[in-house]
Amino acid sequence: MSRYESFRRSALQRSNMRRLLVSITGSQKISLPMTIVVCGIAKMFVGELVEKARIVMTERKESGPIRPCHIREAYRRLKLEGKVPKRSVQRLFGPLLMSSSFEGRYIFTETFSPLSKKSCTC
Amino acid sequence: MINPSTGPSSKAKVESSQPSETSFKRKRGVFQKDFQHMMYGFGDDPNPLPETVTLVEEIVVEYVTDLAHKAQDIGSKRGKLSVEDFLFLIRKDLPKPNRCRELLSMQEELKQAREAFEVDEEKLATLE
Repeated sequence: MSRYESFRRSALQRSNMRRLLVSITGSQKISLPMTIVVCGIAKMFVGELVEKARIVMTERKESGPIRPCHIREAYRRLKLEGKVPKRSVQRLFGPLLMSSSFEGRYIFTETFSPLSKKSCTC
Repeated sequence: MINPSTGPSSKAKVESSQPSETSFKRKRGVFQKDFQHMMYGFGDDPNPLPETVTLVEEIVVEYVTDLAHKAQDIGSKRGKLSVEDFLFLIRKDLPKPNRCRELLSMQEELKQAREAFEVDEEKLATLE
């Protein structure tokens, strides 16, 4: 029963989400409905990740707490299903790209992402 | 070569009042407690592994970032960023738009209930 309670009551803090959205968009005009919607979307995304990770675990016949390699595999499968928005340009350099001194767009692979580990090291 | 500081940076759980001009700084552990309860609710152990929670946080922050950037691209064509842009992006992912509509209508209901409550209080005050 407590699992159901956690499922219903758990949520991402709106203040933290709002701060994150402000830092991403650079705009202070983040409305309350927007924060609520993004918190909801994020929660459902976590659900998809965890459920897929559990499926991966049963396929590998493993038990216990979920490990990072399961999450990575789940994330990879979600990407294949098209449920994760793709980034065509590495947004870490967003502010730099917006400046006029750059002439082209640089397409980066996910070299900086911690998710690019191919083997399960755990 | 600019080195983005998105590597394992310090786990700053303090709510700092830093201006967000350097959006590269990722404050780790912002959502950690929330994610622990959430993962348990969705099927993980009652005590999820900390490295798993950290990875989930990274993935979700990246997801929200990409979503927000795309929404901004869509919104810039129309003027400013609005909720509809987000709703448009997730329109195909089945349970999400339904849930979002639910959340928005609940928020409206709660707002109206609060306003009705305040009006009643005023009436009581004027009666006495």
